This record gives sequence, structure tokens and C-alpha cells, in this order.
Amino acid sequence: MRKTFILLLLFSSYFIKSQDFNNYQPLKCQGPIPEDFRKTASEKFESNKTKIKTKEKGYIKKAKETFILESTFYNDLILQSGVILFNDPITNYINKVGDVVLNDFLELRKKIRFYTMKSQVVNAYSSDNGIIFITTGLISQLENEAQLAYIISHEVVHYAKKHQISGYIEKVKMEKGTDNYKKMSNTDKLMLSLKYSKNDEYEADKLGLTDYYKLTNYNYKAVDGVYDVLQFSDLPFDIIPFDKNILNPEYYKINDEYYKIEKKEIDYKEDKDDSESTHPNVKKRREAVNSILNEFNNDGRQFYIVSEDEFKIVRKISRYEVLRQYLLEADYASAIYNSFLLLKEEPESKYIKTAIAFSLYACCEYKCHSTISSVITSYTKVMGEQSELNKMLTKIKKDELLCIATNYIWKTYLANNSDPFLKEIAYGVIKELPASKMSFDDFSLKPPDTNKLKESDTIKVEDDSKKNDSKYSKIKKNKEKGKDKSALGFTLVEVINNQEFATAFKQATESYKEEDEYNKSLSKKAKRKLAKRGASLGVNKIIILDPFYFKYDERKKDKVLCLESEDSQFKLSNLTKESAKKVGITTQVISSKKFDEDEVDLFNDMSFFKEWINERFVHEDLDLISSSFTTINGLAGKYQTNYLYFNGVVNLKLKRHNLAGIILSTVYFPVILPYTIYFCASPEYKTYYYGLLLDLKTGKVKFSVIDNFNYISSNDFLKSIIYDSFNQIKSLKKSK
Amino acid sequence: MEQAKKIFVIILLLSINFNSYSQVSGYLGKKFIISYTPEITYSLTNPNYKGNCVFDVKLHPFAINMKHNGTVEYVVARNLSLGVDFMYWKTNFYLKNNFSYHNINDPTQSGTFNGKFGQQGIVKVMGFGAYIKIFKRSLAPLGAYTKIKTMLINYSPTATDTSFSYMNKSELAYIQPSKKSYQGIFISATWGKHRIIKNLIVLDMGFEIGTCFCGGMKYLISKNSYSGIASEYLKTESGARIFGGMLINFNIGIGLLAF
Repeated sequence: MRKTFILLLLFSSYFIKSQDFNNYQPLKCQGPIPEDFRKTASEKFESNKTKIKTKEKGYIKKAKETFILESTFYNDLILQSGVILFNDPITNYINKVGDVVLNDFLELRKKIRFYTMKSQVVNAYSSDNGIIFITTGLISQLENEAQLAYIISHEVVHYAKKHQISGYIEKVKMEKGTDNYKKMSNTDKLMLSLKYSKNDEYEADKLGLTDYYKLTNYNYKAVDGVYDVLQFSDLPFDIIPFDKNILNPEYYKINDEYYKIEKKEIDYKEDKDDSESTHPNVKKRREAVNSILNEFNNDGRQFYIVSEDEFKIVRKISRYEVLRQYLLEADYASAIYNSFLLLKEEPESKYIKTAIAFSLYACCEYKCHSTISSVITSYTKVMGEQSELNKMLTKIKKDELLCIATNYIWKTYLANNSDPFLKEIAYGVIKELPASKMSFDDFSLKPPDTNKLKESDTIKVEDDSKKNDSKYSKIKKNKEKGKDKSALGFTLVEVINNQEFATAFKQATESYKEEDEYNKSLSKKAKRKLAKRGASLGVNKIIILDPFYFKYDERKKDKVLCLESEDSQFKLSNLTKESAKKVGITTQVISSKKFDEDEVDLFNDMSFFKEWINERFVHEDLDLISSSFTTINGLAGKYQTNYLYFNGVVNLKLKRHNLAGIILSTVYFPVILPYTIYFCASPEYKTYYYGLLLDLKTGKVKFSVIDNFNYISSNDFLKSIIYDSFNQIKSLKKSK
Repeated sequence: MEQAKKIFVIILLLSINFNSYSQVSGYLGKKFIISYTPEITYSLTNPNYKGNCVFDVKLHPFAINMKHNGTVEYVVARNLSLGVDFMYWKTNFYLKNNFSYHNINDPTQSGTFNGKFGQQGIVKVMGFGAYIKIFKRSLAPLGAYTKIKTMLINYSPTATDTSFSYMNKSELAYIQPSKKSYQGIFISATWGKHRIIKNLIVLDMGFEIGTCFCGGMKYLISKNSYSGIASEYLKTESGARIFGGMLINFNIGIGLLAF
């Protein structure tokens, strides 16, 4: 095991050095899969349960059991969600810093496991069973290694002092009204609960500093910086005015009016009202810590103990990973702004330019479907320099954005024409030009007379001050705008003379006409008939991704039935696999509950598929190319199928409401009394099933089923619907 | 009656002519069901085959009338199944009116019927029909369904006068219509539910409302006002009994999901 670990460290240092930021590859887990990911939640619960002291009061013992069950179950959901990394360069680095922090606490060190969470959010979180999650968002914002060491020290205190479980027990005591809580009002109880939570934070800050951080040789000045990171965690890792020229075509300039904004001042208020918050405000925490720090001698203390170079590379990787997360989460303005920041260091990075190209493509798709506001946060809510970009992406006209995006994407593609992802985006965006009634002839093949290309030639931006215009003057102005397409005609000059571009444009125009005619010809009746008949996809091989099962009982205090859910998840996984086999579909089931130690590749595949699915559902009805196209395409090749099926069941037992009707009926017809008793005593059952087959290459939903049944046992219905789904997926269309 | 037969055949042919080019999964690929379904009616005032009914001189609280149905069913579309049904039912019927008859054992003997309650009329009903089941919100053959059934029935009423003794006191006098059996058409609608256990056993529960064209109207006019020859009287009374007995039924069936 030790040898494996050493080899792993060597390998990870090689990976760090070998990470090519020009062609950035998403982070992957490496080496043997840790036990945390292999054991089921039920197994973990059984082993953690034994730690509860038998002498404790009945309700406290029960509360502890409930807490352990729920926290184990939810932690397991996080571990299997596909966003957690182990043995990767970032986690390995965190572990090294963790080793330094806990150098004098070897027993404690053995109990603590660090994992990186792929998320743009700035956060660190400690679980009651010794797992500490640190996000890539947090690493990307840190200034030095010592800051990470302080954050680790803080989280270690939460674990060592069992803050989570003791907070939960206090909450249970409050609810029961025992001890000192007998005469308290609910508001007082809530405020007290928040106070306990804040006290935990103060304690973690203080003891993290005195019990752990102080024993290392890390510099005390870093501690204050951690509170800066917390205070400005909503901002990107740097604040530089956005360079508008990045997006401008050579012969066209996006009107500055689009960007013009009264920038929202960065909120420096660190003394926010925290009375209803679980954490004290930054000012109070900073003051509390500084009062201790003043007594310490900082001489000879360092910002780096493990390695400054490694910290910088790890932080850079985190920043790239954050960019990737923005793309997956469809936060395209943040993705473009972060790309702009990263370009400062790597001006020729293909990965960053592709990220911008993809963001523009996605914005165009959303703009064309008039749903841009769902992916671009309102500029009034964005602080700092990025708000300008948010305004431009919100206000710019669809046609203008489409032309600018097409130019940028095709320029990037033509410079890297062997990249299949860029090709996909390039051919994807060009389809929108004919759909927006723009033809090849609308664009100039030659550059304009540069003297004429002035601000006046660009499309005017609607000025908010003109809102007072009369209805008729607005109509006239809109008419004027419609005519003013001359400037847009020069947006594609850089790419329009390329043969491939011209051919792609003409093909897109042709296929748009055909599609349009087909859609018109397909009558409503024919569509209904098609839906009634069922799908006939002729698919022989699929990937089944982690069937999901969730059981909930509204009548119980612990409403989520954790253990039963996990057990049913196993059964659903087997049922799905057997049904597919019966129909004759070859399957590769990737279940989060069944990993062997050496199946790290399968684990990574599951993570990438889950990321891909999450991104797919952010887009809802829009069929967009995925930002992880390259990775998913590779996986489709690996599993030799283009289809991924994922399904799940939500099983609810609900309280019955409106019993008055049946009780009244019983008064008039006493003969139905036994049924009335049964009806009132039993819950209302609801079982929902969903299953979707997605095309890995296009992201399109090829087949979907959503159904519900209201029976006590619904196994036969589940079997029927799962089998039918696979039958439709497998069968070929028969002629009448 | 000839017209009734024609209608029956047309309905049968129409039912069979459903196109089945849709993706029919059945239940795990199985589409063929053989089942036995007893149809039960609570014998409140009409006698069952033992002659008992709930509100008799003596109270029989569990008196039920049971019809035996054997069906063969096949799933033809995602929400449709077609089936054929064979029914056998034996029950008693009342002979309340006094009327003249000839003993069939000795046509020279004649008498006046003044039969006792319940024991005297027996009708055997056999039926052969076809049905269509439309499954709502689930895939055939599972879940809630509406069944439309049409059936050609053949019934043979007989009666015995227990108060008459002929030659030997132990012998009874039989009264039979001149024609031994009659035909009628039965049409019904059922609202029921299928559940499947162990991928093999089909449980069927339902509530049926039907009407039988074999004496329904006469049922209304026959009560204590009939006068005529014995065979006509039996035909009318038995028809009325069939009409009443098949009006409302509860089905609890069990079937085998064969293949």
C-alpha cells in the first residue's frame, strides 16, 4: 500500500508537470479507489453506529443514530456525484499540506481524508466522519499555501470537536423542549441554534490557529488573507476591465453602449448583519483571530512549506477547472470573463479560446430561443468588472451576437481545424444564420472602406432614456433599425472567403429549408400516431448510468428512508440490467454502488457521464453541443455506443388529506366502515419512474418515459415499464 | 335472433381487425394469458343454483351466484388486448305463476303448476364471446382497464313440480319447453385492474355492468301477470333471470401469463 502511495505521488508530480494548459485535460481520479467510495452507505452506517455509547439517554442515542444515518447517506451522495476527486494533483497537494498541519497529530491524521470537489463555489466542508472537502473554487482564489493550511486547520477543528453532531443533538433537545429549552419560544430557539453554530465557527477559527496552525511554521500574515478570500469569494480570481477587443471582428466593433454600465461597487461591507446566519460576519471573525495573532511572533515563518511552484501549478489547474465548471453550469458570462483572465497568462491557449468560442455559441443558441436571461445573470446583480460583459450579452441583438460569435468561432476553428470539438461548434453556430433569415449574400466578401467604419455604422443600442418616446416614434425607430444591416455585413470578412466556411454556410441554408419543409409537412395527426406507436430506435448497445432510487415517508419523523433507498437502488440496478438482457440489448452498467479498488477508470467515466448529464439538463429543451464533447466522444468510442440510458424511481408515502368525504359516506353507509378504517390508516402511495436515452454525440433525448403509479407495491409496473422502454429502444420499425 | 347473430359476428370481426404494428411489449415480452374468472353476484332476492338467496324464508347471508368464465387473451397493442371468453352458469329461477302443463313423462297427464319457491326452475347458460380491453395509463396487460364484451349465450331452462307425484310418489314431474335451448346476446362493460405476481400469475379484479337481450323487457311485464303455455313461460322467466343475474357482476380472476 505504501509503495502504491509513493508511486502515486511520483505519478501525480509527473501529471502536474505534464499538464498542458494549451490543451487542458479535465482532472481525473487516479490510483486505487479509496474505501470511502467503495463501501455502501449502509455498511458505513453500521460501522459508525457502533461508536455511539450505549449508556446515553434514549432520545440522544436515537438522535445520534439518525444523524449518523443521514450524514452518511448524504455524504455518500456527494462522494458518488461525480464531482469529487481523489489521488489527483490538487488532492495530493492538499494532502501534503494536511500532513504538515497534522504533523504532530498522527492518530488524527489517519482519521482524516481530504478530497477535492470540482466546483466554482468557494467553500470547504468537514463531515463528521473525517472527510474534508475543499473546492477548486477555493483553491483558485488562494494567495499562498499558508492560507490553505489555515483553512485545513479550521476544518480539522470542526471534525475533532464533533461540531456537526453536537449541533444536531442541541437542535433535537430544543425540539423536544428538554433541559434549558423548556420555556423558550420558537424564535428564541432558532436564534440560540444560530448562536451555537456561530460559536462553533469562532472555536474552529481560534483552535485552528492555536492548536494546529501555530504548531506549523506557516506565516501568520496568511490568516488575515483567508478572510479576504471569504469576503470577496463572489468575485473572480482577479479584477481587470474586460478587453472588448477580444470579441470584436476585425472590421466590426461592438457598440460600447452595450457595455456601458454604472458599475456596481464591490461590496466592502464586512460587518454585515449576521443575526440570522449560521456563520459570524467576516469582520467579527477577523477581529477575533487578530486579537490572538497579535500575541504571536511571526519571525521566520513561511508562506510555503510544501512547495511554492506546486501551489502555483495547483492553483492554475484549479482556475482551469473552475472555467470548465462555469461551462458545465452554463454560466457563460463568467466563463468568458475567466477565460479573459486566464488568457493574460496563456495568450495562445487553445483550450481558453475554445472555451470562449463555446460560450459564444451557447449564448447564441439561448439568444435564438429568447432564453438568454436563464444563463446570463442580470448585470445589476454582478459585482466588479464582469458586470459589463453580462450587460453586453444580455442587451446585444440576436443577429449581431450571432455574426460576432460565428466570426470568432470560425476564426478559432480555422486556426485549429483538426479539433473535432471546434468543428462541431463551428458547424453548430452556422446553422443558426439561415434560421435567423441571414443569407450568404448578406455578408460582404471584402473589407469595408475603413474610413467609413465608424461608431455610426454599427447598430444602435437602445438607450434606456428613450423609454419616454411615444409609441409611434418607437415604431419608426425600430423600422430604421431593421434596415441598418450594412455594418453587420462586414462581421464575417475574416472567414467568409474560406472555402470550407462558404460550403458550410450554403449547406446549412439548404438543410434549413429542407427541415422547415419537413416540419410543416408533418401533420399533428401523424405526430400523434408516431407517439402512440412508440419509438423504434434499433439500438443494440447502451450504457446504463447509476440507476437511482429514493424513498420518502411523509408520516415519519425521519422522512427520507436512507437504507431502504439504497437497498432499492441495488434492486433497480439489477432489474434494469436484467430487462435489457431479456430484450437483447448489450449493456454496460456503471453503478456508483459497485466499484472495486482497481476500477478507477470506470469511476472517472461515471463522473464524466454525470457531469455531462447535469450540463444537459441545465439546457432543458435546448439541444446544445456539450462543453465536454471531446471527453464524451472518447467515452462513446471506448464503450462502442452512442447511447446512454439513465433511470430512477421516486417512491413516496404521503399523508392522506381530505378524509371528510369518506367519513361522511361511512356515516350514511356503515357497511363501508372496514374500508374506511383501512383507507384512513394507510398512506397514499405514489411511485414515479423516469428513464431517458440520450445520444452522447448530440445530447438529444432519443427516448424518454415518465410515469407514475399509485399502488402499494409497484414492482410489476416498474418491470413492465422498464422492459417496454428497452423494447422500444431495441426494436426496429415495422411496416404496416 | 338471426339479426342478433349477425351483429355479434360483425362486432367480433371488427375487434379482430385491429392493426398491431406498434411496439408491443406485453409484460416482459409475454402477451398471452389463459385465465379463469368467476363472476360473482350477491344473491339478494334471486336464487343461486342451490336455490338460496339472502332474503329467503330462511336467511342465507352468503348466498352468491357464480358464473364460471374461461378466457384466452392476447395483447395486440401497447394499450389493447383482445380475448375470447367461454362462460358456464347454472342457476335457479322462480316459477311463481300458476299455469297448466303436460307431464313430459306422460303427455296424457296434465296438471296445474303451483310450484314452491325457488326449487323448481333451473337454467343452464353457456356463452361464447369476444372482448377488447383498453388499458388506461399503463401497458397492456397491466393496470386499470375498461373491457367491452359481447357474447352469444345459449340457455336451457327446465323445471320440476315438486308438489306433483306421478305413478310413484318418488318420481317428480318435469316441465320442459318444446324447444330445449334459446339464444341471446349479452353485451357488457367492465372496469377492472390487472396485477401480475412473480411474472407469471395475473390477478384480475373488476366490476361489470351488462345487459342481455333475452328477456329483459319481458322481465318487466312477466311478474305475476303471465298466462300462456308452459314452454313460453319458462323461456320468459329464465330469460328474465339471466337478464337480472348478468346485470351487475364482480370479477375476481386468476390467470397464467403463458408466453
